[in-house]
Amino acid sequence: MSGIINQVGARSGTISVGDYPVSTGTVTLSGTTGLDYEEGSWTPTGDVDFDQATGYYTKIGRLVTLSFAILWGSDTDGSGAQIKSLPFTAAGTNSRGGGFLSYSSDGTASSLYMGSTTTVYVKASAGAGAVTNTDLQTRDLMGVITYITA
Amino acid sequence: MELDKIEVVTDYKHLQIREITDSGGYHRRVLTSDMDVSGETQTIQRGTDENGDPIMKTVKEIAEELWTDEVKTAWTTFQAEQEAEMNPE
Repeated sequence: MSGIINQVGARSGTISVGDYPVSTGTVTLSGTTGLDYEEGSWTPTGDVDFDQATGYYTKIGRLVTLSFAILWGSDTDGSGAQIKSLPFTAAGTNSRGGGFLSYSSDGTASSLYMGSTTTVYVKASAGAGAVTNTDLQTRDLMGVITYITA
Repeated sequence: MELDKIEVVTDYKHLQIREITDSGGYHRRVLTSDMDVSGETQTIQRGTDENGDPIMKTVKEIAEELWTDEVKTAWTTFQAEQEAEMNPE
């Protein structure tokens, strides 16, 4: 992998084409250009204010993995809870991703799915009804989201 | 944060913005045509003029050029379609 470019601490580069040793042999990355690599931060937002929100991303090729921690705000709002301001636009409707909550101080929220190319919805479980902003008032959430970029 | 890069993606002309934080890391966000960009005054080079001098534009100016009424309407329609598909109840 090529090194750190731009300014100190800004991490991106290219995973070059070639052979990579693993415990049982080698993995070969073929093609002509390799895979772009980038890591950084993002700031989750919602339809209500969050009291705290931090996030990190890693992008390898078109695959993005996000982690986040949110302290949901205290606003009363009966609409579906959404996480916005993703760092990359997701690919079309057939390539949407999703995720899960690794921690929730709410007793029901557990599932995350991409309801559009730019927004993640919080659900009680896959296919279940929406968890509302009011449900998540002052709750702590931590989770992971992964998807393919446009 | 310092504006580092703008990528225009999808038919809806989303602006993927990469900034450099005070500590030197990257920070990312996406602007869509339904957003208010009146405060997006950071500048970035967008090509050169006939003399080879850099053409500097604000994020707001780039958005206004790209986000035509047609683009805005298409994005609004697409969002509604996705909402209906994913939240049928």
